[in-house]
Amino acid sequence: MGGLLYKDFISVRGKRFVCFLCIFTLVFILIRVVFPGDRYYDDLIAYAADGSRINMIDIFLDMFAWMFIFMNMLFINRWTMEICSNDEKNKNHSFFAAMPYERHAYIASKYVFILIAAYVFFSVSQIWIIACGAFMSEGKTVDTLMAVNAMTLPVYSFMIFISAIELFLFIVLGKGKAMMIKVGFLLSIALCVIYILLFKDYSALIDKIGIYSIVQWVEKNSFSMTLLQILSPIITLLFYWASYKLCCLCCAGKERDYD
Amino acid sequence: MTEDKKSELKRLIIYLAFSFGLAWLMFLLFVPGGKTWDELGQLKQSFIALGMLAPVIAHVITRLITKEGFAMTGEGSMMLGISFKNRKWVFYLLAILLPWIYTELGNAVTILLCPEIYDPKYYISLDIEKRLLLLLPIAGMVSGVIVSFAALGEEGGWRGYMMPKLIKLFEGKPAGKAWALIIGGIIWGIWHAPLTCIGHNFGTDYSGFPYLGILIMCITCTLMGIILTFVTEKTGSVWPAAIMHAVNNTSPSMLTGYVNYENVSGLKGMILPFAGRMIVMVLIIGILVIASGRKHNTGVNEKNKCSS
Repeated sequence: MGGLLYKDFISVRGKRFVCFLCIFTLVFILIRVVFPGDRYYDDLIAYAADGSRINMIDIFLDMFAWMFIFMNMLFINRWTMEICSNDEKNKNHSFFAAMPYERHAYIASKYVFILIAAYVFFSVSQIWIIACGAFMSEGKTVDTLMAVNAMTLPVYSFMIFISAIELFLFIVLGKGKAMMIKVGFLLSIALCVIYILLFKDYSALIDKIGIYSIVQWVEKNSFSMTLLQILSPIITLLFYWASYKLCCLCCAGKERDYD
Repeated sequence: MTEDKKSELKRLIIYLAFSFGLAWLMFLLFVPGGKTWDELGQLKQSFIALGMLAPVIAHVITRLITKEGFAMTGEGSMMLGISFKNRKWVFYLLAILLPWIYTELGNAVTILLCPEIYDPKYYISLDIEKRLLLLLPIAGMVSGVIVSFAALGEEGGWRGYMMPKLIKLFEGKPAGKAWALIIGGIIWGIWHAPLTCIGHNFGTDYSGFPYLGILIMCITCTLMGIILTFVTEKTGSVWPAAIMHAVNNTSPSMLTGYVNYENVSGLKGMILPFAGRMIVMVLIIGILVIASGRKHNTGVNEKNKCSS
């Protein structure tokens, strides 16, 4: 299994990526330490509606951290596709079938690789959030950071949920058919969004999904939030495991048909 | 001392120099002078806790210097591989559940030892809903498993490098392993000393501050270290130890909402939060020693039967 994981690590140019991740994280921490939120620069102070002072350095670095975390999530999605399509392009599957690997080790390696990647990205995102929050000026920005941070785990769980579906499609159906289904699904979502934007009244929806309404919801519903934080990874991991088992079953069926 | 042991000692000293140097440097740089742990605030505390990554960074640097290689599994490796074969999954499950068991039982023992700390309305002052208390253990276990990177930072160094070296150094001596575990625990406890000195875990309001705190930290680390080394050896991986350490740090217990240590002060208030947990830990270690001794004896008896 270790060899298969290393192969996937190389195929996504993992070494370069790890170096980039480490350097980027160190530079971010350094910038955050050098420009703490409690040091006020007059030109960089904004005032909220309630009159409280907001340091724009905090906002800038906060946004930068969230952009980075969002990028990490996209990488999980991209790698899910990449590790499967690279093998298909190089016909690696038939090569590994001739190697003395355990049955289903190939499929397991794909699922484990994405889980490891998600764990690493989640850990790095936690370091970014901790570093960002530790040197932030007190007030609304800290509350926002903590509230949005509480949503990180459910969102990462959702990304793994998507990966469970994608891995199944890419391994069982191959890149061509899987991409057709994926593009079809994304197009139908886009059409729904366009329909809502053109023909529905979405002003109430915008009020609900504003950043401060999320903050208020998280603060008011601590029980629901804790439940969400507990259940989202558990349900996602169960779904991930079911996807793996189903994938093994389908591949075993395919091999039997081939024989 | 053989040449082999001399080189192991040299490697261990290099590792400890980096592990202590990096963590203590971070502490010195980021803890403002005169502030106690509680005054730092939750976010700054979390940032200082990133110093927990120092042991694993020291492990990697030491391997680069000593050219020991970066094997993931096997003897002399970084022990980062995961295997559930041969019932090893039991130890992973144990790593998740055991901290909950000893924290919950520890709190119960503490209430029995000192009934005045029982406060049926304490969770209200903690701003926790009563129904949320039921979720605390499982929330601790889930977050312990998922947000285990900081604990992996410590265990990757202590269990992944220091303990194998110490066990090797004490190999062949009477009660060698026991000595290795005790010395490992003391080193680990002293590593926490700067934090203990600003009131982490024990506060600052007790007689014998901070030396008594450091001493109790060494005892706690030794007890905890024995259990962590046990699961690491059984699985050949530092992951269960990291998970266990992370779950332990979340203190997963429903009784947390009913135990108010502010009802007792001074030395009693400092020792009590750890007393119950330590008693349960000693019992668990006793069970582990007896169980592994019985297994060893069964193995020897079966060997004797086969040879006769």
